[in-house]
Amino acid sequence: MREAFFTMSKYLYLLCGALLAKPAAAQELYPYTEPASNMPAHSVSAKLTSMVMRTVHSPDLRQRHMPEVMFGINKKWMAHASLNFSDMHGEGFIWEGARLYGKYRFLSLDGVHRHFRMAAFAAAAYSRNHLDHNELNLMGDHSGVQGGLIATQLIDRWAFSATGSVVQGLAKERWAKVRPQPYTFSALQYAVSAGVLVLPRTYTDYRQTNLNLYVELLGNRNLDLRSERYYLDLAPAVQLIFNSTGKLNLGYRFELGSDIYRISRRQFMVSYEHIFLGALKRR
Amino acid sequence: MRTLILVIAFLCGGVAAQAQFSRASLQASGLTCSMCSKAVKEALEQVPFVEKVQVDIKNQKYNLSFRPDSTVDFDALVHAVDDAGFSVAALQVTAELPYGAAPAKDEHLKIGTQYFHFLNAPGTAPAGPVTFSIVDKGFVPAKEHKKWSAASKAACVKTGRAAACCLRSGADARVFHVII
Repeated sequence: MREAFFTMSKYLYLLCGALLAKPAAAQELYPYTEPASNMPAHSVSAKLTSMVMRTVHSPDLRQRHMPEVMFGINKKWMAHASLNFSDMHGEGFIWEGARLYGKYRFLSLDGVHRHFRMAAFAAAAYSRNHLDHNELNLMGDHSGVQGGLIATQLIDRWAFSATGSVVQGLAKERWAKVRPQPYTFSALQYAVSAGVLVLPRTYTDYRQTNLNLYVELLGNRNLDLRSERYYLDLAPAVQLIFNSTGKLNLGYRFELGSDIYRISRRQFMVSYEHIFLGALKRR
Repeated sequence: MRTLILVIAFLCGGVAAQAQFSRASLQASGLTCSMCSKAVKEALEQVPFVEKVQVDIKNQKYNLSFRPDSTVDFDALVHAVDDAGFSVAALQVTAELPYGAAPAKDEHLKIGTQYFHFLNAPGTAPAGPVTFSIVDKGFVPAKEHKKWSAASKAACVKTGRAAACCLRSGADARVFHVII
């Protein structure tokens, strides 16, 4: 027992050493949320996100896949376009919808190994799915729009971020004359994210594999329902970056608390992203 | 040994480069990802008068060598980094001063075709190339630029353009403010 304790404290010590060692800057590349910083300007990224989960509709495993392209238009603006495919709503594996996302960085207080940035973002999504749950999101389940703010602080190996947004569901039922409405069309969403660069301890080569650990708190508050008001999820994730261009994320998102009848309360997520640096640059 | 290598590199650099500016060291800030450092490197490599970029990733430093017989435009370096979405934290330039010239505090010195306003100076004529840092807006973090422009009475420090204090450089001429 005592030996086990010593071994554990040794590893903890090593981990702390790795985390406190300077200088190497953190990376704000959260798997579940966007940071205030943009991707490098004039670059293009291709990403595939896949989620596996059990839903309330079936004992079988269900999946959702989201191919996405991202554009670093210039230093201030970036945009995403994505498609959603899934078998979550019990109608077989279908194309569910699409989403557009834009982000504008309006504040940068940059230092070496330390900065604070803020950005505003907006998204719009179209979904073919029927309205059947009160967990409002633009990841394929609902048609709607979203707007919000992001603030990110980076200190050495650590990156912290806060996101707040308003989501408006735009399904045709929104305008139905049923009272009280059984569905939510208005929600506040928020996220607090933290990330730490574990490896490399000293950064000397672009080909070095990077290891980042993240943990994100993802919350929702429905604004127009009396019951089914909230959920709060926790999402730890591991990220590997290869050759400075390929990014692999592995995450597990699970519910901490909720009064919403959700389609799924926990999901595994794996995503891979490849960046084409300077792809939009005129040469 | 390291000093010796540095001295040799210095001498070779001095002989090979006919131009006044042979090299510079740029430190970037606002880097948020491993791709970001690479993006800065590629942005600097695209600047026409930059010959080679050698990166010290650990310190976010980019050691630049310039093409001989080219006009070096320091604003273009800052623009390249800024345009890629990042900032410049420091730019150190190594220059060959005109023969016999000695930088003096709050005096302008013409090196090649460009004007430099020294905000501090050792007072003696240096032997060999001199390394100085540009502290104009965009070349250092905002706080540091503020500190240097507050320390000088010359109006041109705030704008980087020749003002009443220094009209003999030509009205509105670009003046780089530097410290040794």
